[in-house]
Amino acid sequence: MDLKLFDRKFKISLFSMVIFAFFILVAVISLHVVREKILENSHIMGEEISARFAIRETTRIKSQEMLLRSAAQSMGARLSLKSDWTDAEIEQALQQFTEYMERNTGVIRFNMCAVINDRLIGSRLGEQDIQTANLKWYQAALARNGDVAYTNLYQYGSRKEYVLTMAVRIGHSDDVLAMNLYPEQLNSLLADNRLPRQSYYYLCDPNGNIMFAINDRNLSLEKQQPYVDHIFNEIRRKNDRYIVDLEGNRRGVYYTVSDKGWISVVTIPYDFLLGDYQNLLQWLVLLLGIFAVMVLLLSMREYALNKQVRVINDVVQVMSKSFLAVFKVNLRTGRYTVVKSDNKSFDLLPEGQYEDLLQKLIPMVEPETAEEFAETFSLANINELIKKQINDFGGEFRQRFGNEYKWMNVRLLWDKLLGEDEAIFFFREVEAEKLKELEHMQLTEHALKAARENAKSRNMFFSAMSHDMRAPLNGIIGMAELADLHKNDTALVESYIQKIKSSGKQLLTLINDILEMARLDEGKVEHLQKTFDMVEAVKEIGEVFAAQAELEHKYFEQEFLLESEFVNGDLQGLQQILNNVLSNALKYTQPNGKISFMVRREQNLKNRRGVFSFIVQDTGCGMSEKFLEKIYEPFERDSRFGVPHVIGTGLGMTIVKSLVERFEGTINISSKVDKGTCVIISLPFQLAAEQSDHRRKDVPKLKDFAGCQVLVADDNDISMEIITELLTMNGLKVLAAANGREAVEKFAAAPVGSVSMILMDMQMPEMDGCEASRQIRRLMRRDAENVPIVALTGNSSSEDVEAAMQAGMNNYMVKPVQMKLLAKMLDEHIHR
Amino acid sequence: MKLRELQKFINIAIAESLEERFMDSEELYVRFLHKLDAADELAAVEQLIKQENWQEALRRAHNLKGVCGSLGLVTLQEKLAELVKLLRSEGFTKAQAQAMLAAIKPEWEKTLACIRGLE
Repeated sequence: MDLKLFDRKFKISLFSMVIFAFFILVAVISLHVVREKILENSHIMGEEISARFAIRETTRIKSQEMLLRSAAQSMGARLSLKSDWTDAEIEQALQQFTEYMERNTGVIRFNMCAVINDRLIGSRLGEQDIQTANLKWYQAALARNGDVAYTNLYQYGSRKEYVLTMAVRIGHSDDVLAMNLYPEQLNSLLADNRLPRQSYYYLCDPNGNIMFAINDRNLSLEKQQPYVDHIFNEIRRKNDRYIVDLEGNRRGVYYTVSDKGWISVVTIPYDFLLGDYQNLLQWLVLLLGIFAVMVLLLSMREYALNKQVRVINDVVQVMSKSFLAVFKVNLRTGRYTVVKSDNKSFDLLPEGQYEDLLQKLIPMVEPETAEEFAETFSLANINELIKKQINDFGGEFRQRFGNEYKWMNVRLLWDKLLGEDEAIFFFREVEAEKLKELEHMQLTEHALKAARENAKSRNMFFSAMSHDMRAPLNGIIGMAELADLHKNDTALVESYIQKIKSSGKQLLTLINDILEMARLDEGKVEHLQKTFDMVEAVKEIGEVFAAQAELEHKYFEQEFLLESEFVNGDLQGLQQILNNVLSNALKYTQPNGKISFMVRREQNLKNRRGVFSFIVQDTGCGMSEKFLEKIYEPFERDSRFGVPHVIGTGLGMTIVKSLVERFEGTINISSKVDKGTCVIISLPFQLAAEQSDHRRKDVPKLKDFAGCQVLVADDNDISMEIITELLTMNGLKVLAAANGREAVEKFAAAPVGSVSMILMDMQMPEMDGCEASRQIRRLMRRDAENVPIVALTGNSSSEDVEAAMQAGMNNYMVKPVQMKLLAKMLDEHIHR
Repeated sequence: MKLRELQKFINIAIAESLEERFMDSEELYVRFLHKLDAADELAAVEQLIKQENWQEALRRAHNLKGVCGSLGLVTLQEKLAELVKLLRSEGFTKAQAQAMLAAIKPEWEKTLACIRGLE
């Protein structure tokens, strides 16, 4: 699932990313193109600038040339006028020219000199003695034949100044007129500030020496020379249109070589050239950034939306699984569309008329409800209900699928969300749920019925009861009134008193029985579990009835086919059952009749449970079939003719039945009118774990003294524990003392008469048994003198026994303590 | 090991104890046998003899004898009875006491081991 999610997200973003990438690509290409274009243009501009400068320079220089040439011309003319010019005269002429030049051009320094007739003349030459032949300018001028020749920059003079010489041949002679130019002078000629910012301009001689520079560097030309050298190097090295300057910036280099061989160089920083471009780039990047952020946000939103949609889709999928079919119905056009359909059950076209759909469905519905179905879901009805704002209705119908009917829940939902005219119609199988519902209903009905019946029988019980209670009570009151009336007739009064007594007893019995029943009913009875010998128990009961039977001149037979056996059970309950049954047998048997009471031991059940059968037979008046049916109902008495009027409450058998049920036993009654009755009761009892021997009757047992409290004084933990365990297991209470002193204290603290016996160990720390006994006997309590104290000795030496008796103890036992002996002691000394 | 099997290894009057004192409850009997193990009485007596605390030693030995008697451990009871007699007598020596105790020890250990093996 995760992978899928990631996939989808990826897909979405992929689309955006592709667009984004494409956009970037285009942008990059455009930028590149723009940049190139800008550079191109810059280059062109640069070229233009350098060309412009070159031209200006050329023009200026040319004007210098003109002046020089005219000077030469004039000098030539002068020389031809006279042939014996002295050096000084030539010198003067030169001076004149110089002054003329200086005045007219604004350049302050010119040094004019000439080579006339192989003699170098020039006032400013200083002491330099130069061979004419060595003068470069001389040779150059001669070679140029009328054109002005230029030297490169060279250093001259004692001050090593950079100088450049222009020279021209005078006419056709070998005379040359020369002029020195100082580059600084050029600055004034050419200074012009129309350079792009941070651009540098250099005018160099053919050797690459700077003649003139324009820039804002404020450095001397010498200082800038290395830079220019570097530029030239770079230019020679590669043909690119840029160099990297000494500061690491890129500069465009543009140069023009004039026909004099001078080189004009302009360098313009790329930053300047690309200034606009940089701007553009920045803006573009910003836009791109914004665009990217937007794309990201959109992607996230899309993802979130998709997720939502996915969740909804999944939910709808799951939900639709539980629907057998879902249709969308357009209420206006009366058409339906299948949204989901389980084609097995519904053989339908994906679209069609709603009427047709209904027609197809109706036969499938259980015939009884088909009409209702048709009506409920007809278009007309639907519209009706919607108008009434009931936009969710449906019901449960049984629909036939193949050969069986299944419960379907059919609903129609209309909601504004879907659109005014559309509703959703869907089918869901609810077989399981419906069946459960029906089951529940049945159970509830049952319970209701039972409750009602219970209430009814309760009422009946109460009415019967109140009737039966009123009778004896009326009797009592009646008799009392009569007695009141005949106060003086003692005989009469006596008879009345007897009757009152008997009625009272009757009433009491009745009330007891009723209470018993109520208790049994509520189950609040505490079933006292006792361990008893079955034979003993039934014998006891039998004895009573035997005696009674004799009194009433009826034969009573007892037969107990069982061995003495100890069981755990509710003895009282057993007694109650047997008493009731036996008394009935006795009551309903006429004198000279026979009643037999038999008890048998039957097969064992699981879990150490033995089954006992109690059979009571009589030759009494019996019971009719009709009565037998109601025998267990409270207050039912046989109202047949011939049944002796018997004193009783009518609750006996009810109680017996209840008890037998509690025992989880069974009761069977068979009876024949005038022949007799036979009652067989079968009850299981838990067999007692230990079957003690039969010497019971003679031998006292510890158990017999349950409830008594014994003070035991012994310093030995284990012995104490053994005795304590022994006593408490038999239901006796134990007061423990670890030595004599404690024994005395505990006895003194106990309420008078609460301690039935004291078992005193002889040897104890702090205070021994004898001393403790003496002290106890001396206590001022009613029971101090008489409480039996039994010494526990380690041996039966006579001295010890003697000492014990002297100390006031009643008896002694040799340790280890024996149960039977202890019981005997208890028996002897405790008067029960 | 079952309770009844103990008789094979040590001198123990099971039937009598059960009948006389433990109300025929084997479970109760076994429980008390285990208690004997828990309280290391013989070691305590040994210690007391070593310390020459005769009064306390006598008392403890006497008690232990009683317990063994209650539990039906006949041999131990007899041996302890002898020790008690010695400790009660006049002029016995520590060495004698220690020797006697040492003689009891093997029986004691064996008994305890058997008890521990009881289910």
